[in-house]
Amino acid sequence: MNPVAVLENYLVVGAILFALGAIGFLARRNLIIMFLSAEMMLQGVALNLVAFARHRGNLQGQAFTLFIITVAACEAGIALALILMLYRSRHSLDVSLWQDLREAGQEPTMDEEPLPPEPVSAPLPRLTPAGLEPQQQEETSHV
Amino acid sequence: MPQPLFLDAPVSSPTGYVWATALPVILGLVAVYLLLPRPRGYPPWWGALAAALALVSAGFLLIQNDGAVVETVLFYLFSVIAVVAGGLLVTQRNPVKAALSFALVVLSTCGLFLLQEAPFLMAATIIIYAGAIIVTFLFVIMLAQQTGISDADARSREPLLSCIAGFLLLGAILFVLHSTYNTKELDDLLANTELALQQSSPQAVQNALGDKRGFFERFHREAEKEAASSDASRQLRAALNDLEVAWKDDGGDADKMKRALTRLHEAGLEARNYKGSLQPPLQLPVSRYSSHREPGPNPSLPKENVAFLGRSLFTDYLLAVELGGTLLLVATIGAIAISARRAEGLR
Repeated sequence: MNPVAVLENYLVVGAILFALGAIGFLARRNLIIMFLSAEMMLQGVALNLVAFARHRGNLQGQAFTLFIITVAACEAGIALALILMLYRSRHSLDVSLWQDLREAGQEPTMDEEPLPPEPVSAPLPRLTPAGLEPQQQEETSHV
Repeated sequence: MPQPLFLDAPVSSPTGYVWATALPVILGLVAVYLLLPRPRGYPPWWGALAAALALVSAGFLLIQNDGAVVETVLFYLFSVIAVVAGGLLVTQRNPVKAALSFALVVLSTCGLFLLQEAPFLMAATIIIYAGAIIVTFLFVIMLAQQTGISDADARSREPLLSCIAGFLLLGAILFVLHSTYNTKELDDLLANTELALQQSSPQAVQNALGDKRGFFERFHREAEKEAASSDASRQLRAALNDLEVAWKDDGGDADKMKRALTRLHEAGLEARNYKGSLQPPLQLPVSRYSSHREPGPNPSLPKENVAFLGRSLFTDYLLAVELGGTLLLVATIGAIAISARRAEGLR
């Protein structure tokens, strides 16, 4: 296969990963899933750089990817610390609880549709008591 | 004379490229929109069907392959796993399963790294992200609501708008990639040329090349996609001019046409290898630690990946390595400072 076609294939996969991560970051409300989506965007970019390094036959792309991994590790540390702090003050991972930080003049988003009721799990069976109840021993004390 | 490094934008954009990219992108938009969590969701089968159609159409329209080589099979395997796990990560309600699909994304990306001759990066990514994913698991177990449905997991913010934003970006990127790097048109033209080279009479040569206007127009469009300053583009244009001179409507000289065609074929092959390339001209100085210059369009990476990567890092990128270390230190201190419990009343 000619090298240009190989390069294009990898760039396509990198672009798809990047776009999916962007959608996850924009649409999801769980802080941890938003963090994972951001990491996935970084993976897409790293794939692009590695493909270009292979195509051009020099190591600049791979060196750059190594720095991306470094920055991603820093980002992960800070992001998890922030998530922990945010959770402590609102007791939830929902990012919409922080919408009082929005710009002035913006309407708050309200959740109109109620959540579906929780599925009721079948109750655990109660066994009928069997056998004899052990007799209470009278506590006798002779003091 | 200074040579521009930038690619000239393709002048004409055939509508075929638009449709080839629009179909998988629209199907993917529908799939992700249907699958995003919401209180009363759509049946998952519709979303899954749209996602499968999007994957298959993307595989047919966007990925170029010729025959099943081992590398192609592995590429398909890893990229399908990566894209499917990425979609699951975005649409999954349960954060534990989302973290698991992120692990799959990382592992299959590492497989793609290995296919691209980056073994050190593969190992480093697996080691680093294994730790990151385990920590994420701990956080999920520690913080996420364990029972029942929560607002955070069962609702999405503006699913339609964010899907449109993401897939518009994806469509734009794919269109540019497709119109820059796709070699199908050029390959068709080169096959035509090869067929014509086997004919003997000038009339047969002209018949094999097909419509004169169409042939020249298509070839000129391909030549316009090359960087105008590059050698390949110049060769291609010169060969096209030769052929146009030799092409007489009432026949012409077969030998002359064939000589022009041979030159055109060589220039076309050369142009295909340089397609969409931002390869700097050979006389530009590049550090010998990060690259070894070989003549030719597709130079190879050195075999000893770790040794060369280390030499490149500690010569060309020494300052950046130091800065990276500093950044890690600062981030560690910052994470401790942010997450440390403060005394009551100090908030």
